[in-house]
Amino acid sequence: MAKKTEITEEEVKHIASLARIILSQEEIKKYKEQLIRIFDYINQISLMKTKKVIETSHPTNITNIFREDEIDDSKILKQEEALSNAVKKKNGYFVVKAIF
Amino acid sequence: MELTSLRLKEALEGLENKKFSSVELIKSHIGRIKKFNKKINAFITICEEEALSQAREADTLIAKKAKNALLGIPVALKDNWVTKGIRSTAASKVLDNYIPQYDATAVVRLKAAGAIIIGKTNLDAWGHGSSGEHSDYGNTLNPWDYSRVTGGSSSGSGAAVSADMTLVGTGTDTGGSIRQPAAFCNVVGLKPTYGRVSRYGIIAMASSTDSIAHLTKTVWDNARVLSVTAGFDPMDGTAGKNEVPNYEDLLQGKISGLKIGIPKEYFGKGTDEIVADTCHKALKVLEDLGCKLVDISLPHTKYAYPVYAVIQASEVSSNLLRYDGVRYGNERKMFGDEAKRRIMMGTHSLSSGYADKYYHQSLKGRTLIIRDFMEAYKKIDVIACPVWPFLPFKFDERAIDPLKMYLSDVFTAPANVSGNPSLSVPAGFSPDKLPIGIQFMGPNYSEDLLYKVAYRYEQETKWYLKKPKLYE
Repeated sequence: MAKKTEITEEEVKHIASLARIILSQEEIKKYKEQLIRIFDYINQISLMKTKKVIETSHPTNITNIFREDEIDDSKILKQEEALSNAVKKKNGYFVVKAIF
Repeated sequence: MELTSLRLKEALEGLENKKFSSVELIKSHIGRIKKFNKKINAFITICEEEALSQAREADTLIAKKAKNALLGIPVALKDNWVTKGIRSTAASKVLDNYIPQYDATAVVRLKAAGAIIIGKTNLDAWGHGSSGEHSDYGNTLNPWDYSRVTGGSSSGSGAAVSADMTLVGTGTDTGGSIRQPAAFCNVVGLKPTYGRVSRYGIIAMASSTDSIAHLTKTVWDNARVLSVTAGFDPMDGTAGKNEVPNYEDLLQGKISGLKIGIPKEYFGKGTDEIVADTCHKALKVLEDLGCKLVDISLPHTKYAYPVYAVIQASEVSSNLLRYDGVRYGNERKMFGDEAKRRIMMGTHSLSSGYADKYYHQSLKGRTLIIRDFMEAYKKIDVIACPVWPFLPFKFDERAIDPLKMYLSDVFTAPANVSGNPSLSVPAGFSPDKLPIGIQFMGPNYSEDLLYKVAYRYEQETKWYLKKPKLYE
């Protein structure tokens, strides 16, 4: 049988920071328990014999899809269209929070 | 005659023969939506004005004897299909105010075929769910029993087609999200081959398993819509270049001699007896039509769900990182409980120290699962099995335990891992009058074969004639 999963509250916080989501203390506790239960179930995948098996990232094996390097105006948003959903904008730009 | 009781094929004939107009057809459907949606909650947005104005244009074209595959026909789009100028929420408050600047490729094609968008349907937010209970816009009720779920994540489209609110409801099937509501609502739902329909403009859930299609009342109707939406798209590099036939023209013909594989792993002790019996009865119908039933084994079946769970959650966590609340939508704190859980699962699976154990092991497992199917298809033509291990369940029966809910996908997720097409068709009812579906799976790009088998079965059984009794 696969080993029991161990996930600590610190790890939950680490995962949340990697994923850019903010969790309350309650959520940290809840997700910790749920993740343990879910990964306990998922751990059975380690029983599959995959030593010489190649990975599949795409199920229909299409490779090398190219297109002409041409501009298609119908697929390009005009500046005002691109900004149409922005919460904050100024002089034709998106306004973002300062990052430093 | 109630126009909403028509099926797509009859509606197209009625329009062409001028038995009624597109305006009348749209009005009757909108009327029915207005009457029952407050209760059933299948729609997030209703597009009455736009639809009526397009119906008037369609009527002008019909008067000029114009022909088009879906001219004047009402369609309801799952709200994770991006629609120009129409709010597209994916049923998440993150996108509560998102008005897209463009149409998804599948929407462009539906419009070009003359279809009319009557509204946007409810779903589990972002497609995350098998029951419809994870929508930020409330549960969709199953028209067959309001105390039960529709199945998800294309919950609104399943309910809307079943309740005669639309002739076509679109969906996305990442782990079963079209087939599951189809089976629980007594309608036909297709998960096409991965890449058969373009993903461009469909709000991404898990990019390597997202399959784009629709739910309809009958097999013919379903085939007609796929003829419109399928095909290569330069905007989606994973869309296949295989030619698109008129699928609805390929339904006729014998199916005798076809070999139908029955995978033992799908009929084990985890499967409700009523569901298994119903599927066996359906298979008997096909046997009587001359099909040969063959017992098969797909040995990696038990790993298909956990493999799917890791791949899906990993891709979800990556796809949902784009929502920064800057260019469109609200801040990340608006993500609901289920989205956060999947983001956490996926981020953990991909993170340093765990990626080999979870993500890469799953990609290798995916190869093994695909090999299972390919081996099977050397011996048989089509695989038949239940869509769900159990009957439509009550609200909150499974939602309280995420793992229990995830395991609802055990019979549908394998086709998403393998990329193969799968078609869910009505197979009858439980003694309590709850709908049960059967799914037919086949090799990549075998949609025509799946439709043919399902059509023949449908001709024999006509389960689509059974309708739920709605109340306000």
